[in-house]
Amino acid sequence: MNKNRQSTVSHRFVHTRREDNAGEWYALDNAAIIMPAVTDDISTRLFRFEAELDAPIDPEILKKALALTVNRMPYFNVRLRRGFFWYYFEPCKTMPSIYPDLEFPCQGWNINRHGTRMFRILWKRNRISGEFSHALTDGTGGIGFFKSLLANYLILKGVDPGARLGEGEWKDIAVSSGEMSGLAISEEFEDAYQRYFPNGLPFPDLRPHAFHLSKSCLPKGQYRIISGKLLTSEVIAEAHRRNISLTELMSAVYLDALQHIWYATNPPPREPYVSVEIPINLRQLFPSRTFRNFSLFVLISEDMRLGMRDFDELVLRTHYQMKLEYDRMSISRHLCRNAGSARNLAVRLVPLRIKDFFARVFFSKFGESMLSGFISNLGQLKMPPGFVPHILSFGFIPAPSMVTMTNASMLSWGNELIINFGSLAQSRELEQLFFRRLRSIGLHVSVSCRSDNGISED
Amino acid sequence: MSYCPECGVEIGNAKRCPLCGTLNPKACEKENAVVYSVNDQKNPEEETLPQEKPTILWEILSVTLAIAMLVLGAIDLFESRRFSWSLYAITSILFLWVELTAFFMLRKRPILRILLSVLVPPLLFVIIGYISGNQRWALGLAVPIIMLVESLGGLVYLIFEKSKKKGLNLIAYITIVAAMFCIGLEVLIDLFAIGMVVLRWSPVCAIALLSIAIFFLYLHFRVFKNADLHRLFHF
Repeated sequence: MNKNRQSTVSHRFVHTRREDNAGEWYALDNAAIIMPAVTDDISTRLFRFEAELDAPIDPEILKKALALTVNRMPYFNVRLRRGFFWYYFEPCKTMPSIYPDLEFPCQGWNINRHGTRMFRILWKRNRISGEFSHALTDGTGGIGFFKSLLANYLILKGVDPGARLGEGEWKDIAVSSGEMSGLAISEEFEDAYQRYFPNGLPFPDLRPHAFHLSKSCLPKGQYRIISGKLLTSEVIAEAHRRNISLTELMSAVYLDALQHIWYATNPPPREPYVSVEIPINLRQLFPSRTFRNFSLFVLISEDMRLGMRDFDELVLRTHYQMKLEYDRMSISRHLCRNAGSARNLAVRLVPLRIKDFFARVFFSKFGESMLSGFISNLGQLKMPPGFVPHILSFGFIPAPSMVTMTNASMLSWGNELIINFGSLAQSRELEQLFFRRLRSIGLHVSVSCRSDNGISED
Repeated sequence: MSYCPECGVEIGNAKRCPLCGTLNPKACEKENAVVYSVNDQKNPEEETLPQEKPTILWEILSVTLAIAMLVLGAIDLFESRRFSWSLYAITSILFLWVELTAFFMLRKRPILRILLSVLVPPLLFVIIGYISGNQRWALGLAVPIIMLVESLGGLVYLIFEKSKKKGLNLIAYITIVAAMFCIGLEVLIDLFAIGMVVLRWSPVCAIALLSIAIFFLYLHFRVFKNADLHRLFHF
């Protein structure tokens, strides 16, 4: 009987879709619940995917493709509403519009404004972009939606995918095929944090406050993107030569850039630690088909009081820190803390206004204050063989943050590794040190900044 | 292909290097390089303390309380050559220590923990009454009020445990118990002070609290089952 009760409780937390007389609505997942409180006009928590196609975008076809995608994945077509205890998502009654692309991405879209959708699709010339709020989904969920949108667009343009979509290797591409049904579909919007909630584990240790870049900001509404392109094969060969992964190599380069900035800062910073957050896709450790948030992070830190570290030493230390932190048991401790707090009756009964206040305090004390920046690697993107010749490149832009100021995200498409730095800071020192280090270890890098000359891809 | 002479990265047709601002040598003639410098200064700072474990915390608190008792006793003894006022403080500290021990050290023995937590507060007032030489207020007022609080606390716990569907009904139950406490408190005070019960302020409190409780029960059992407000009040 106790087991039954526990299973009912778990079911209640895992399944986000609910229904009442007015129709369906969705609860926010465990990572999303804090997002609305810490979202504002600048730190929009929007991240972006872009795809450059081989032909100019047809907006009418894009609209149809978007409608098809949203019909298949209705849990994306939602807006944020305030409840008395929690936020919730209310389905939008209309189809989402498409917008002309802007000079500065991920800006001017605040999900807290009444009626604002949790994502937007933009287009300009050959490029389609999708910006998604972290309150709705994470990188893996967002790219799933974006790839489905691209697939629908190219199919409507008469391109044959050359593979069966929605199955096997292409199961993350959800093209429209009738009504939603079955368990597999409900899994797509489950709260997987709650599904894998491990009760009774010790909480992870608190990390010290980390050093942050200087607070000289760009004017409001500006978000600078500096893109670097490398050859994936060349970077992987360099990583393998050092017996580490590509993500570890890039994180070490990031950490190296941060340690140089730390030592160059005068007067010396109060926080002695530089820390890089590496988001990890939990679906690799805990199988789930969810398109909602299901990621956590590993934090790689160095104590600057011990002195400046040699780059090779930093690479090794990053590798070993990653090995220590990135395992199912260690990650479960984070899951236990995060998912457990949302199950706590005392927390649940606190009115939303008060929760919002404490969410901001906790996020500022124990969230972004622990990291100097993050570098997110989405990995190698794949599209069905029929689509590949029509997609020239992909891009992944990190969400802006007023605390860390500059962050990076990367993905690989074909043999191209694209690293995008998104920054709200005037200084370009971090980007400069990062790419110079890549050059110094013999990697070929091509760099551009779209806001220097309008949108550079034009 | 254009390369930035400072950063060594390819910069395409951009007028300046996006990283350091150096003019593209193929496009322009002037250079405007920003040279990066490294400052080796270090700032040794205090280590942050590691999180204390319950046992260590209990030990520290015990030593602190023991020192406080010794100091209070010594001062009292020094001033009045006997234990007078310090007995109240020492007894209170002693009972605080028992409560802390129950909280920190008896996590794995819940029955003993609950027993200690429940028995210690009334016992404290009995002893203080004994020290003061007047047990009347302790037995007639303090102990009954503490027992009332403890019984109502236990009742709330049982209701929480027994409730199949936890929601706004829990807030309603707490409000009802608070109303019961108000009435009980006035009854106990009246019995102690005038030997009979004349309810004056507690019914007003109880009516206000009960109306709130009824509203929450209505929301929980009637509105949430059938109406669109479910989404608004989900928790």
